[in-house]
Amino acid sequence: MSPRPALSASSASTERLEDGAERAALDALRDVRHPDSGCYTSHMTNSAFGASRADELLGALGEQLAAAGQQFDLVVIGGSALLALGLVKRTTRDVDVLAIAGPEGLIPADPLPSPLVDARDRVARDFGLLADWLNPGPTELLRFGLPDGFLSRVETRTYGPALTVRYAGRLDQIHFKLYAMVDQGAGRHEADLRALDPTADELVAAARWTRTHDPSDCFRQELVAVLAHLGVTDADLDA
Amino acid sequence: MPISTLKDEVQTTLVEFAWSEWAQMGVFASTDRRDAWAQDPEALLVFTLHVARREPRLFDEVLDWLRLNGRLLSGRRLASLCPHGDADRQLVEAAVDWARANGSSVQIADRHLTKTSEEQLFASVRVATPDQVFRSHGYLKPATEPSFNSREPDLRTPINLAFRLRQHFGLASSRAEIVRFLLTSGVPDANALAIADAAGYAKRNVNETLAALVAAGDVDRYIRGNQGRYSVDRARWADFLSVAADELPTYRDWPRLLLALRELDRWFDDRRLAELSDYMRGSEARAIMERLEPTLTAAGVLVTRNGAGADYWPTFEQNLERLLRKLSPTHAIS
Repeated sequence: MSPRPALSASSASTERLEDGAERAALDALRDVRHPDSGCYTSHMTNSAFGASRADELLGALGEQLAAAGQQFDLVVIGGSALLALGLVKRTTRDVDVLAIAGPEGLIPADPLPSPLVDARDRVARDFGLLADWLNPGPTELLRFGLPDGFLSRVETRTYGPALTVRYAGRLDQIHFKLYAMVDQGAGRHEADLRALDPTADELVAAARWTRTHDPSDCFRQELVAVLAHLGVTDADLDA
Repeated sequence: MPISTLKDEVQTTLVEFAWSEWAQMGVFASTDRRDAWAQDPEALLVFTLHVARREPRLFDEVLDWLRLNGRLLSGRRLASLCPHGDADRQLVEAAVDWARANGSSVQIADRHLTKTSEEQLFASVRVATPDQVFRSHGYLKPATEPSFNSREPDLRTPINLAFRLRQHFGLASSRAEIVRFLLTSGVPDANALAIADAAGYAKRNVNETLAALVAAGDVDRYIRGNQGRYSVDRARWADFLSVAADELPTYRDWPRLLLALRELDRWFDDRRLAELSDYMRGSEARAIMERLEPTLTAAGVLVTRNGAGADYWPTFEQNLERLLRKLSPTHAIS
């Protein structure tokens, strides 16, 4: 007679619980969406975070990277960058990585390198976040070029020896937010853009840059309408 | 609680628990405890050889017990509960070899000597003359003579039910383990998978043995859904064992509980932990608990995950407390 191959966790043995109270507590934790799975949920729903938590998360990411002997230099835009620079007061659900900075300049962040993904996932687990709390969503912007002088305007912060984050400056955020507002609609993009309090000249500069990313007539019409909505009506977009 | 304090508390509890269990099973030691549960001898041996590396006297007395009582242990279950790849496998093989060199018939299945280097068995003991059996397995341990202090286990006590059933049914099949589970688990019936899991044998073997036990009228079988369910007449078995039905030993999922405790004990021994930030220590604690969660949950230990980042630490302490509570003799009988 041979022994079983290895000790394995089996839901069958949960029927041996001795303590009724603990059994009830376990049942309360059972995955309500998939009750037959036998899984237990964490009940943690911390998916939105503010400036101070964002700092904590990046600090944690830096520690995880250091523990793994890895080092990264990230360029970040979007809500978390606005929060970090104190330009808006709201919460965000993610950190948008535009690029990874290296000795040869900026390289696309998609796909995120696996050591960075491993560290990110550990932080997600530790803080009850969605797995993509740090994602390369906006990295496509690199393809058609960033606003001139982008890197000279970033604000750089370090999170321990293993993580450097370069936050896009205010003028560049105006560029990205105007583009997002035209491309994806108003909502939080408009709110963010208004919080940045751009001048007409800044909006026009941003508008001209967005045309390098989408030169279509359709986009131009939307852009003109958005600029008018923001109070800029006589811009020369083709200069 | 600082990790150093928590580590001391946990590791002291584990060693005290091992002493108290073995004292009830024939090791030369005294204890006031008379636990109501049935112990799993193979799981306890593997666990003890691990934690007793901090308690040389316990280690040597358990070796002596193994010399005298090794015939009561199943070599197949030992191999099943401490398979190749388990960090304590070499240690268990060394202990078995030492006992055999001193006259025991104990065995471990699937032996495979994989000595790679030598390490001190006890951190606190300097080795002048190494024990050659342990050295052949890569452990530097002072030469050990049997103490001849051990006794045979008292088969009338609840903790020794496994030995008593093995005396009835022998060690060659899974009969004793099947009956031990059905008698003690407290559930009205169970399917073959749950029984095989608890018995530490493959389901196919357990199915064959169950069929024989049903044919002999020792175990009842009925069909629920498409599944065969098995039960025993506890009153009849209690009468057979000369105990009142409500005095039958209780059940703990020792293989899982003691495996998880070994893992945690090893985790606490990682010296890097003391140097980590609060967040990283919490992260490491969460990682080990996440890895053990399926095992602990199956063993009836509630594992929670509350607290983000470094704030997880109190939750970790509570999880440990619930786990260690399973070692407390709350249902002890006098």
